[in-house]
Amino acid sequence: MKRFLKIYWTFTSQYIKRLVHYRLDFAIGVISFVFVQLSGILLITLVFQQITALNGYTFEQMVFFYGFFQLPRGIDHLITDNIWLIPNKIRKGELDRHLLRPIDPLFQIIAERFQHEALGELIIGGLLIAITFPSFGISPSIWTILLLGVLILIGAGIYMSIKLLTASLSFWTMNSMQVMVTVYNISDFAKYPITIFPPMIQTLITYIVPFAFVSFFPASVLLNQADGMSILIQSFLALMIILSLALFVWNKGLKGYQSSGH
Amino acid sequence: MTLRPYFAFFKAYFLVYLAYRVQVILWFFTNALEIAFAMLLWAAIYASSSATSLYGFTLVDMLLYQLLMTLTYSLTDMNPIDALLDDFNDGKIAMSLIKPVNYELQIFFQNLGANAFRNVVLLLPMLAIIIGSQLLSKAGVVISLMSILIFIVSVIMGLLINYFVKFIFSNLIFYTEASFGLWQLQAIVISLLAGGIVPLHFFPEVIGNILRLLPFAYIQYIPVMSLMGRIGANELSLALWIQLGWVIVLGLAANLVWRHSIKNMKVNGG
Repeated sequence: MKRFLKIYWTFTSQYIKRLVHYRLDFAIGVISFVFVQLSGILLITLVFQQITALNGYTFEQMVFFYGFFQLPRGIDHLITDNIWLIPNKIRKGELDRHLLRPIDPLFQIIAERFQHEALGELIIGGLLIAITFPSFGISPSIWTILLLGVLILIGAGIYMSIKLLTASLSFWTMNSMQVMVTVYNISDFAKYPITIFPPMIQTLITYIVPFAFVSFFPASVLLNQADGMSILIQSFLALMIILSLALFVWNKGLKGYQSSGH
Repeated sequence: MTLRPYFAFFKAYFLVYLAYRVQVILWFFTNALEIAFAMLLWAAIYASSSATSLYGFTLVDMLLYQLLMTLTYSLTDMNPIDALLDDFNDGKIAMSLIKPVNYELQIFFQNLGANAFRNVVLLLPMLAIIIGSQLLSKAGVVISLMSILIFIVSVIMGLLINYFVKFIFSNLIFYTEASFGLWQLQAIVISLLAGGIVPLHFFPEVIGNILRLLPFAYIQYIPVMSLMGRIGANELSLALWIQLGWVIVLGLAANLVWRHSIKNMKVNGG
């Protein structure tokens, strides 16, 4: 474990050195994510000029859910964004490089990049929660806050597992990038309270691609609209199922991996 | 100057995408999912509203708008930034510049080849949308042969505007060395200002009026609104003239920016 942390730090510090060199790239990256968030808020704002509540949710609650959505997503972006490059590495035979080294290849791929742009998501998400939460008049206990920390990490884990699962399909299809994008984009539904969508969609993002556990359920816990303990158990189960599936597919693909070209 | 060599670039890219046709079909699913998401969200919004129309759009108008915007997005889609970022990051651009072809035109025709292939694949769904919208349009939207012709002209100009705007934007790579951030920034800014997230008339009037003068509105919004019959005859001819004006101004600007870039760029390796 200590060895992994040390290696991770070595990789990350190299990456940070790169960032210091490309300072403007860093700034533009963060700004671009801030822009993406603001455009989502703009949609909610313009729509609420005409309606007072959306399926029972007020403007503040909508913004709150939107902000909460950014936290697990941002953490996942920050740490495991490099999984997006797996299809490319498989197709171009670049995976060989990782297989030759004496550390777990998945760990190497994840450690290779620290996606600083995600800071934009985390900052905006945090701000949106900070602005809207006081208006609900809820004071969460220290327990709830600890629980939320765990739920957010589980959420980030679910994101990672879904990316890894779809990326690993590249072992058979050569390029599963578009599948990754399509499945990942299903998370769009989790930006808003899922109950505003038809039951079919709710089932899809709860039981099939479990994005509902990433932000809707944890955010509901914070709003006292759901029971923390039962959400924790369910989220943990969802993570275990999707993570073992992803690792199974990844390992199976890795075993049969034949490098391309050369 | 003859354009003949550039058709080779067009054809090459058309064929490349033909080789990756499964990708294109999947790309179609990605789009379908996005449309489904937007539609369900709007359906929920309209269900919560006491009025049947928001800013003059009923739910059916809104769904039609979303469909036509996606369709027009695909028709006008050009991505010079992808090629420029790639060529810049690995220094390949130096090789392109010593060849006796105009780099700007080369990228244009490559993009056009990719665009053409995608839109051939989309042809059937597109026809279904147009016929479907005809059937839905009993409420007042009448799509005539004339409006389809105007739509086609407007889309071609929209494509040119989109290309020039993105080309100018992607030249920032030579000055900032920012790649992913720049890519994401241009995508979101153009989408927002072009009416991809909310229709431009949903904005407060002053902002909406300003946005309608900027070139971004002329990529998708104006062609779509004209096809939906939302622009009066007088306004429409004015809009088309403004659109033509932007094509010319941006075309010249893109050329100037490019000349400045190639004089000042520093390239890796090469």
